[in-house]
Amino acid sequence: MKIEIERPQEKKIIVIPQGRVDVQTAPTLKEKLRELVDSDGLTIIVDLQQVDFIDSSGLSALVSGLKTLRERGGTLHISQPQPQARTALRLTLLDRVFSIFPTLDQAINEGELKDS
Amino acid sequence: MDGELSDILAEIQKAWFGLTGGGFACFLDDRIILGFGDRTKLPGKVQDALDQGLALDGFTHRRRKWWVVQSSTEAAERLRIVAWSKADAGEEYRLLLPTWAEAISFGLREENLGKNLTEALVGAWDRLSFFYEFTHIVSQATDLLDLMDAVIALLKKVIFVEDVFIVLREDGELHTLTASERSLPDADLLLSLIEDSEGPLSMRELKASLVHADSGLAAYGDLLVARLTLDGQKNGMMGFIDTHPGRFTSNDIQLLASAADRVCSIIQSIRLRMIWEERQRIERELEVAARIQASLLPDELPEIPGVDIAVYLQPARHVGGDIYAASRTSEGDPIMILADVAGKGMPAAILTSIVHGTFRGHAPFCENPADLLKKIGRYVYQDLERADTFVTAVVMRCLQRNGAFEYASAGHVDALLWRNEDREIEFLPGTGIPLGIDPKYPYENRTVPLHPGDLVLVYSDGVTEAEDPQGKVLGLQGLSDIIYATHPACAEAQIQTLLSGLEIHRQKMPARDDVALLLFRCIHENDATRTVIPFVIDAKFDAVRSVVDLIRSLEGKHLDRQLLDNFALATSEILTNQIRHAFGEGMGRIQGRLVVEEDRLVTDLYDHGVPIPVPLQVNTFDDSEPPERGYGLMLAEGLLDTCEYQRIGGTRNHWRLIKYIRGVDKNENRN
Repeated sequence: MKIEIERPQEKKIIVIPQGRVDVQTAPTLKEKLRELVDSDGLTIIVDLQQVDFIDSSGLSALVSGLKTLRERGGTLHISQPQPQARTALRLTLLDRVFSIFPTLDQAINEGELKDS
Repeated sequence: MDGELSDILAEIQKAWFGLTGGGFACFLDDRIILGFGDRTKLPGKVQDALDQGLALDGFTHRRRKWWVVQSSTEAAERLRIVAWSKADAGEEYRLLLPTWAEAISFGLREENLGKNLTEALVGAWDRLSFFYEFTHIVSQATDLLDLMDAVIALLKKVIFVEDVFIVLREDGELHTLTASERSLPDADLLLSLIEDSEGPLSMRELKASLVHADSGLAAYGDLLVARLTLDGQKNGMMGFIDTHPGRFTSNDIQLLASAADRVCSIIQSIRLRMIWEERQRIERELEVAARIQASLLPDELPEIPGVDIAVYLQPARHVGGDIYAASRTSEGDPIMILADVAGKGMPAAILTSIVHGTFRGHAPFCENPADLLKKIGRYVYQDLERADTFVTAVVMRCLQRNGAFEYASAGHVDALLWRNEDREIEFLPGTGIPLGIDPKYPYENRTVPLHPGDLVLVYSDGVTEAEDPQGKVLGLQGLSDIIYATHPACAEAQIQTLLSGLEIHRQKMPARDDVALLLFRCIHENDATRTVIPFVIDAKFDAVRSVVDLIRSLEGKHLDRQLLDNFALATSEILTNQIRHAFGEGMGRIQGRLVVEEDRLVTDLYDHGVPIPVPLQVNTFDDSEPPERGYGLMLAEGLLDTCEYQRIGGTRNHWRLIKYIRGVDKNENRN
């Protein structure tokens, strides 16, 4: 799985996984998130626009990332989930746990418009 | 300079060019007597060697190889030869250069101009042409002894000796070849004398031992012999014989050593070539045999109303001992045979064609399988006995009149019968002993009534005895597991799934035995309204994707992307759960089928792992403390209309996942 990283602002990192985040590739995402948390108060935005399939292992990787960030005063947002990912987040009630944004810009600016 | 000398020098120059694509020049002091006019165009290192009277052996400069050779003869120490060749040639001919240097320097002494010089140079020229012809002969040779004959004839001509011999030890036997075709006395004695010598030995060194051994060889005037070392073994020799004592010079020793080297490499390359050609020939024959055997298979499967048939045959090697054939009985019923000749490869293949021919020849005159099997047993008995082997076979037909399966089996592995109504597997035992044991054995028929959805799988033991890398066989259990999952699918899809199951079981181990599969399935009324896609996967996380892909590939008609994505996700969650819990990520196989019906999607998954702990619970959690795991079953529960688990027969896990297509989607409407 290819994962792109962008740093639009200080303390903000955009993580863009591509393709499937499933039992086969989720450990890579989990590891990547862990690596990125190298200072306090970070916000990581996982942009799911290019993810066409995410399973429970992928969701676990996101939860794991959120926990790591929270331990250091940071947080993890999700942007642009596709229909399959939206369903998965909703059925697992994780849409109540993550801040989910319809666009990347909103996620970066932590807009008030939460997509629920 | 003598006209004859310059002619010969020019000839040498031409010959060197012909052999190496290079050039050749002679210097006497600073004066050039043959070759190019401008010394300053030579590489610096060559000029230095000329100035300082040094030799230069195979120095590479600008993709050329250079030699500077000085005559060792006292009379012409001022004579030097400069030769060069293309970088990839010349090396094998460089031994000619000292000979020529000597010959030319000899010729330059005034008193020797004339006859002697000519002889020396002609000798040198002949040696040159020897190597040339040598190369030519070798490139065309196909038989080792013929080649050696040609080589010694050539040597004899070139060296003006009375006889040349080559002795080779092959499989402990000595083969002696002489140019004169006279026998060589005491070849084994000579071979033992030369055995530990590095270079060639002449009569001077050998005489005492030969006299001591009272050998006939001691009577020769001169003898020169060199050892041949083949494949690291000292297993031959070659040499020259002459009646004149002291006939052989240091040049001859050098020539023999070099010729012996050549002969060794020739023999080795010829042997390799022969082995290779033999393999190629066998390979070609096997390919033809494989085509012939494949052509014996019927072009079409028999058409039996209400029965779906598929067959597969794959020899482990090019050709094999498994066959399948179809014909018709005297009553016009399609009748088939699946047979397995004990053994593999060509011997087994030859016998399959005998069984095949007998089956085809007798089928139209037989009424039923037992009849035909008895005939085959009688006719092939003698051939099998002579070959000291046996054949197991099943002869079978599907009776159109009453929908029964009738068979007679000669010691063949039990066929498998799926009883659709009872959802059970039975085995159909043999009804007699293998063919080739008793020509008069009274084989009997057995008739099994078949009902819609029932299937019979006849196969060869290459299927059940397929081994994984630990040597564990697929076995009847493995075969049954697959059929348990695949049974509602069409015959061809089941055969394909059985094959992928075999491949997964073998884990890349090559097939050691032939594989034959013949499957009959009684058509079921539900077949028309559903599509069944069976599959087998390795119980490994990276195999889950193949099932996800399979489900997603159904997009179209009444199945939209979102429905399939959701169903694929639910199925993948259960598969992941199965792999994690039933096998602990260890070895195993999951058999399954995807069924597409008018109003629903169904996945059935079967495995042989440990039982899944029940009841399966869906997590609830505090939003501020989400758990890291446990979302899989939430997803499956949320996405499916039915997600059932049961333990079957205490050995097998079964999951059934259902999603209704036109029903109310309880989840989409939940919010």
